[in-house]
Amino acid sequence: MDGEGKKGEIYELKAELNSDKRDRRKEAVKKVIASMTVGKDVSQLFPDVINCMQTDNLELKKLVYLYLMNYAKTQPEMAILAVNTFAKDCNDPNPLIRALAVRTMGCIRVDKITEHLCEPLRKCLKDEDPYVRKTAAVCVAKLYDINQQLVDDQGFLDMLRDLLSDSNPMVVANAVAALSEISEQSPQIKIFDLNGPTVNKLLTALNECTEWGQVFILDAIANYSPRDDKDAQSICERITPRLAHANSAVVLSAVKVLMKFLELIDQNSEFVENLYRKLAPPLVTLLSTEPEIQYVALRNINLIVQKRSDILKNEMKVFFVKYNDPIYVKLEKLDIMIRLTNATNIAQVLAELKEYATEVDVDFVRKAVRAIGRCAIKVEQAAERCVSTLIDLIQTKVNYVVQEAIIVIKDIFRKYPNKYESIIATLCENLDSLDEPEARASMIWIVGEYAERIDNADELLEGFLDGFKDENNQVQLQLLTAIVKLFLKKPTETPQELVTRVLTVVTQETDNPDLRDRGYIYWRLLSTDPKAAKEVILAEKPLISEETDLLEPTLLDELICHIGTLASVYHKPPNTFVEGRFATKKNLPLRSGVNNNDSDNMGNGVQSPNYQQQVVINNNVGSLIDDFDILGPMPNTSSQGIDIFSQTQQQQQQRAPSAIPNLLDDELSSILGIDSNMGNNSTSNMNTNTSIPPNRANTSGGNLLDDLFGDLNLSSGAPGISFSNNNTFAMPKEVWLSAPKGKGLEVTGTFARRNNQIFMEMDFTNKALQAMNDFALQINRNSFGLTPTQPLHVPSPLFPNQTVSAQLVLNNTGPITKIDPLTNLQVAIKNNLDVFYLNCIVPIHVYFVNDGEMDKMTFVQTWHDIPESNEVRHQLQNAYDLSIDDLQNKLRLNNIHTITRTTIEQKEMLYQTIKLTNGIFILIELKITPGNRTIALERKFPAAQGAIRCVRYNIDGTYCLTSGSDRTIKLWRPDSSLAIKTYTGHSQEVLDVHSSFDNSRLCSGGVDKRVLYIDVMSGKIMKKYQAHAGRVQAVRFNEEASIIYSASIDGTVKIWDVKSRDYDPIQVLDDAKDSVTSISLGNNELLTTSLDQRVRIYDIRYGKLYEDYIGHNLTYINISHDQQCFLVGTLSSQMMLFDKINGKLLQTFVDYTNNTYMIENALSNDDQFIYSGSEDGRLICWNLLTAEQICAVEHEVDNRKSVNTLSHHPKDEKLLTAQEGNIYIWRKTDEIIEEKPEIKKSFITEKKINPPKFVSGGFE
Amino acid sequence: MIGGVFIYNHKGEVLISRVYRDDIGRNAVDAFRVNVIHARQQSRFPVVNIARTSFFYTKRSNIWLCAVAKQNINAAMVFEFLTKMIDIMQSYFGKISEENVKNNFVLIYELLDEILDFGYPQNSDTGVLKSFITQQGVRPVTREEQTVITSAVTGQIGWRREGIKYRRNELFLDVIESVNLLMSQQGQVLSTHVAGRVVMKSYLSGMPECKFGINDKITVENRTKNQTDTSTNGSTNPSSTTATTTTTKTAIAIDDCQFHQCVKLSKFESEHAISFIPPDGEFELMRYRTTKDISLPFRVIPLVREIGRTKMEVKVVVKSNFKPTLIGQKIEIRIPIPPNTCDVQLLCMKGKAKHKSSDNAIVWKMKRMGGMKESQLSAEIELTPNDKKKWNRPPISMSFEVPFAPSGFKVRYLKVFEHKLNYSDSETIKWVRYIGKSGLYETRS
Repeated sequence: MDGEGKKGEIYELKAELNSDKRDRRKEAVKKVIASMTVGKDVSQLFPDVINCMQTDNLELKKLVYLYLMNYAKTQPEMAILAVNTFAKDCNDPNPLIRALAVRTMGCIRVDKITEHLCEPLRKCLKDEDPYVRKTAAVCVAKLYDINQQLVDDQGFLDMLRDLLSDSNPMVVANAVAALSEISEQSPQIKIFDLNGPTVNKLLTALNECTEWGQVFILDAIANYSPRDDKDAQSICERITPRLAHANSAVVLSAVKVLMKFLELIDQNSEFVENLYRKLAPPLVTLLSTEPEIQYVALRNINLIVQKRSDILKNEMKVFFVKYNDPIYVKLEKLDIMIRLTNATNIAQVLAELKEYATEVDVDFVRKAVRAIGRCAIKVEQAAERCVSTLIDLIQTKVNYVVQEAIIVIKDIFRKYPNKYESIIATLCENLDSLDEPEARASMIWIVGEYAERIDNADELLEGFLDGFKDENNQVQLQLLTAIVKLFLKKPTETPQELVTRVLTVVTQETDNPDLRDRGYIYWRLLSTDPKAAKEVILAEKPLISEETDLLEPTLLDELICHIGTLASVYHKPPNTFVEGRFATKKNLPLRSGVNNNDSDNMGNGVQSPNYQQQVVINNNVGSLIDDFDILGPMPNTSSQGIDIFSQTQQQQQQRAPSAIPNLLDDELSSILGIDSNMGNNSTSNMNTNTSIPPNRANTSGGNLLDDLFGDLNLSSGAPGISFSNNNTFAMPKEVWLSAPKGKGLEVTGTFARRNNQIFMEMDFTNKALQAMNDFALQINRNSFGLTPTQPLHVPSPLFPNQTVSAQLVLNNTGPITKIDPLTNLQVAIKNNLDVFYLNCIVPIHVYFVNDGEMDKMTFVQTWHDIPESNEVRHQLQNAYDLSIDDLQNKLRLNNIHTITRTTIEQKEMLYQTIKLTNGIFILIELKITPGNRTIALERKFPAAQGAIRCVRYNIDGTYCLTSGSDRTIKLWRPDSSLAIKTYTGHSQEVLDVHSSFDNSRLCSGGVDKRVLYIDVMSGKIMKKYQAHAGRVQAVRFNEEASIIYSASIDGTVKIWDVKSRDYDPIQVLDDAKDSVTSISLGNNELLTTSLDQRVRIYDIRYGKLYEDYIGHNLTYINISHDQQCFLVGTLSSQMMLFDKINGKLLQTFVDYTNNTYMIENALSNDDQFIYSGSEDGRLICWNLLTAEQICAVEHEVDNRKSVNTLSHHPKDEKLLTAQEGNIYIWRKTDEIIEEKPEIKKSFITEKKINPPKFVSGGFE
Repeated sequence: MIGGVFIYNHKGEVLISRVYRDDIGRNAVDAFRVNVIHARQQSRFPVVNIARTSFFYTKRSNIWLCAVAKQNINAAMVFEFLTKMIDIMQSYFGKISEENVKNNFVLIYELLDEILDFGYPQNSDTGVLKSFITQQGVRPVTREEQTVITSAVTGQIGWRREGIKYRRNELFLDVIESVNLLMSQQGQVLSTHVAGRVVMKSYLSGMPECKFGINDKITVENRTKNQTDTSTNGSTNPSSTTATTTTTKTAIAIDDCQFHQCVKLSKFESEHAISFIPPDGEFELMRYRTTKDISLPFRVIPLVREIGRTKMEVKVVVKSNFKPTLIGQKIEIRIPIPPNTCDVQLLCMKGKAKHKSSDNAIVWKMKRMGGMKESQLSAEIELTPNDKKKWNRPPISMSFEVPFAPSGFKVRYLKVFEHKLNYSDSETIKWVRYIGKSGLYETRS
């Protein structure tokens, strides 16, 4: 059975097939069959094989026939040649040969042959030998499958029916099988009409035929509808002996008939009771067969128990799980155990389940835990014991056990409210370990339901709310409901804020209609009638029923009709897994007396209806537990809904108590950080502290300061605006009302201050298909009393696709109402279509008035009076290289006035004031620290290999490797800029390269999906691995350089053994859900980052995987030299440092740009500093502990191209970077180390001298 | 019905592929290989549905046997068929191994052709099949033999051919019982049952009819009832009560029994008589199961003490619980120990005990042990500290052989009648043997 399909082989076979010697021919045919088995095409030998057909040797004949069956279809013309032999064989005196011929002929599915099949078949059906007849019977079914018409025309069906009365039981059985199949194929024609006499004949044959024949007959009888009670009983009696058969298929088929006919018999009769007693033992015996058969049996027992639980009610013990049972048997046994649990056996069952919960198989353990909960629900007396068992299990802290336990405990709470709530505290302890949606949802439900008993319910829910958007839908729904419940139960401050938050998120930021609708319903309920809300939301919930996972009764009945078959194994009706024509639906027979259209239910007169019990099904327990249906007057169209909503929202906001503004807003820096990509090359630091007079402080909001400095930044940093320009700064216009919300009207706008007036500048665009007119605008009351001075003038009509600009002068004489945020402005715009409401933020700088200059003395006085709590400190980083004078000028243009300027310890200090339109003063201290260039360029040289994709020092830093977009890798001696060697072999850009510990080998990966393993000396490619489906992002050797790890955007890390001759990876880590972007090797760990926002740590020794969800797209990972932390770069312009052991976020490094590219980072050798490139062409260094930016150097003054790659020298304080085609070597200069503590000191001392008020900043 | 049967080796290469139905294409062969044999996660069910095609499979040593179907077919039948097929192959060429399958592939095709027609299982009795399909190819047959064969394949008595002659009419009966036990640490019996088999080897001439009597409660009661009925007719003495009390002691309650197809089930149902015409040679006459009043031959009493995190003490006591005149054999007790064991000190009173680190178990073997005896093993186990996973203690398992039937099963009579050849029941030589074996005999530790 070996060899390859070569021409020569076929040729040889051909010769041998035509050999004179019979033995050789036989051997040749055997070889042909062997090739056929393996799937080789040997159809060319067709004529030669056919030649061997004419033989007396039965074995050879059989082989040739086997060949024919396989290839006749491909060569119908040639197959005709065989017909003659068949016809001859059908007349052979040997019945074995006659049968063989007719059997084979039926398997040749060629139309032309079937015509010739009819005559021999007719003859064989009436053959004297039963062996031939039984074969012919099956042949009719074969023929029907090929040509139905032919079978009808030739009258084969009648002949087949005659065979039902054959003297030989096996002939009968095969005829039954054939007829059953035919009638299943054409259900519309009554082909197999089972009537009393026929069934009688079958039952007689049943006793004497083979085990398989018994199966066919029993399956057929299952389709018979007995005339009446008596008929059913007598058939049952005749079938019961089959339950003692050794063949489980016979037993199950007999069970099927009995289960079906039981429906027709009076349920209270002694007969039924007897039958129940007889059914149990054979079912139990099925459990000592082969595991596969056990599985089939168990699946069926599961159905039988659901239908008639009495049959096996005393057999609990046999379903106890054995240690060596295959998992599928274990799971199924467990399921049946729960169904059989009752008050009498609960103690035993519980002891078993407890045992199972300590097993190893996760699925099994989970199911066991769930089973304990279900026992509690089912058997009330045992509930307490079950609960304490569950609590014990929770104490084990095994993650999946805890989660599963919490899910069932929720159900227990629903079944026995106000009984076991004492355990809530224990549950809450495990809150953090829940990571599966169902468990989280259950826990949230518990917290919401018992909010009044949990002291910190609000904190708990708030914790969940923080990650709301990342939660599964089920959890979101539960959280929404739980928070509303909490609010209704404890309507205090925090819950109110929570409710507002969750409703806002749910209604505005979610795409899920369920969630949104439920949010709206709650919102409207709460805002219109809180009492009604209470009644609805806190309504008594119906107790859950005890049986939670029963099959639906109609499905169960259908499956009972399919006992023993695949449908009963899958627990699915046949039409779900079978092609149409065989999928006839079966129904349980109905007891007479029940009206039914079904044709096979006849007779009437007897009274009792047949479905004794209708089980209450509770299918969706656990999903939407307290889903309530309000089909109230919800508006139909969405636009109306939104209108209503926006009004509600306004009400909400007005009603909400205005929070005390938090001036010491921590978010300052982050908001400023957003602007950092505006493109600048500053290398200086600016530290600002701001103080606001206490008496007025409460009127300004936290955002003021952000905006203040945000704007300031922009005003100095925005390209195109030179500072000498007289224009004050204005934000670019932003969209206030989008076209879909405004029914086609789009409004963009901004605010600006010009000539001491506030201007509201708007663009109106008509994106609808009709013209718009009658524009009007109104401004709601606001914090600064802004009102329009004149009506809005928009030239109307506004035609489709037309844009007009409008300007509105505002003054601040209007009524003042505090709104949150303070700078918010609510505007209503009306046109002929509708009224639209929109919110916009007025940038704070428009409120700066030009008479804000303060007398020096007053300034000092006020400064002293300001309490420390009103002080805010902020660092600016994006300031331009402006001279201090220029800066002053620029700020003055924006009405920020400098009062005085001094120099303390070589640092410029500016003291400034701002006055707002409502008379509030803001006092500023601006400290400008001269820049400290701490990294000096040592050397720069072009690499001449296109854009450089990566630079890497070798193990000791004497050499370096670069890879470029010109598909090459170069080896350098960086200290002398000497290119030593160039390596080729990649067909596209090379993205990463790494050298082995002994410098003898290197590995590389690139866009061409290849991973290369190259000999450094010769440049020869030793191995070329090409199994990645996407480009290879990163490659690493292990310590001994025996293994290469490669990470690719195909989402996998593949591990290659370079010593092996095999070209398949030895392992593939495909846990990532998105591209793997980088890898880093720790001592025994492999760390990867992925765009699925997770860091994965593979513990190589234990083969374990730890996953950390970071929440940003991750680009690069570095493990610290002490192996304690890892640093990841993200696509949201921040680097994060995590504790490797517990996954805690230690530090966040900001103030650089990384939104697009994979920017690499590095740690210094002593883990004190962190380096990273930036997309604005800088190299930045941070202090690891303080996250303070120590310095940032530009690569080129006029080149702001991204710096993607860098490599830290393994020994010295040196860095290698690349920008475009140049390689840069940087040296950390010594002076910095001296200067650094000095900066620190100055901060501290300053604070001491002027505790609350002084603020400092730095500037170059 | 079954659309095709495939046999694969452990690498997923097809050794045998026989397709019976048009709806099964060649791609089904690959589908199974890809989705089950080479699947990354081992399939957890013996039936899988891939693209509306169901695959039934089982594995013997390294060989996968797989039946394919596209219809809603009788699943129990398919698995029964697969096991039957394995039996047939084993009786033809011994162990199912890749080599054996490859060497006999022509034979297997021939068998598959015979035992499955259009996916319908046909006669699969090994004895009958062997009468016309042999490993040496098809036996040349005479005309008389042909009809004998065909009537054997299809006939009522498919399991026996006519014209068998023996010089000595002899039969052997083996009652083989396997005792299954699950016991808790505290010595409480959680579940126990005996699965018994009556295996018969018959070397009888002609077409003998046999009647088999056992001490089944129902049969015995029936009989005594009949007796008392007749006796009450004759005289009114109260011996009936004493009769029943004596019989209940010796009779056993059989929960369920199954018979070889040669046993006339209808007769058993009506008269509780086991009558049959035996196949020639060895066959399994009946299988039965009992759960009540089982005398457990051995009792294992484990004592496991964990001393700190690095030490464990195990003490196991075995007690034999049968007549002192009898002797149990091939006793083996397997005591699982944690995988992080580094050293084991063993001390046993009897037999030999060994630490098998590859199995993570202590294996304690005793060649023989008399009835009503007791033996003990103690072990000190040193562990390497391991904070990883909790060790879930697998049960202690035991295997043995005893020369009696733990269920109390007794053969009461076996009568042979042959009408044509006219040899009498007393002329046949009968041998009866009882063997009690361990099935899953486990004690939780």
